[in-house]
Amino acid sequence: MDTIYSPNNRRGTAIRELVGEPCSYDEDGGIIIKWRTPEGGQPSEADINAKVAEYTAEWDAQEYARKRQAEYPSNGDQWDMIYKDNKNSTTTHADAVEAVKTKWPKDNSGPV
Amino acid sequence: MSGIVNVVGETQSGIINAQAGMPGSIVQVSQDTYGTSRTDIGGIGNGIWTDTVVTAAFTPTYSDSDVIVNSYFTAYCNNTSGDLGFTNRWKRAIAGGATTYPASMTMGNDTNPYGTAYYNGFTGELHWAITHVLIDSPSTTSAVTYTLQCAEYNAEALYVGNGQNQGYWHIWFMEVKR
Repeated sequence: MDTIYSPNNRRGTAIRELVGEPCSYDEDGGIIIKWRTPEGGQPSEADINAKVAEYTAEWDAQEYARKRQAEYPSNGDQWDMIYKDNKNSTTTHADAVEAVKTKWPKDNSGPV
Repeated sequence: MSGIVNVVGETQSGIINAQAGMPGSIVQVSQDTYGTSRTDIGGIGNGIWTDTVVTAAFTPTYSDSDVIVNSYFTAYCNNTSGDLGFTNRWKRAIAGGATTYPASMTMGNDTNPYGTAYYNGFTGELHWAITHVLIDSPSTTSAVTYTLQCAEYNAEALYVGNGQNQGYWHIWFMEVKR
């Protein structure tokens, strides 16, 4: 999932999406204290929080994908595995990928 | 002779005791203005100068003084693709007078708004801690409000002030007699 939905950036992304056009604002302690683009839409804190909750749910649901991405062998190593598997009729690449997928199931119940 | 000599030739102990109003003397040092706020200007458009929360006012004692502006702030960027950057300048607003942008307090321009920070082909989160020590000659004894401005370049998210919403920004001033 895009880092634009990461915890550090979730609120700003939500505000920009709700406003629907370029906007600028000041905030302090997670509360908007001034709109620098008052001509645009100004979503309420409730609307912002609802959108943030939506992003949070999407982000949390993709936890397994981020875990898998961190543990898959590098692209170079995978190409090397595929080359050697084709040459030697082995399954090292599939085994390596499968091990990561098994460790981190899509229901986020990992590590298994 | 040991010790530190002041501007009238007297030996002092550990301090510079310049007479107030003498050239080069420190006329006054302000208190620190600080905040926990930030301004989001991400995606507002390349090269559009925008005021930030980093602002403070100072009133010089003499119209022929220089003002040293000291500031600390952080910036936070987040991109999913492409390159990004930003630049800064300071806006000077004199009470009852003009609002200008001193060249001595400008870091970049709006046609190339990446004079302060730039990353090519970067995706993810970036944090910068930035210190400015700048000199201005406002030529007034009226209150002068200094406001940090920022212009972004391809930044999907850009927060200036306390950056990632952690910590503080600061400004303090020092008046030096010219």
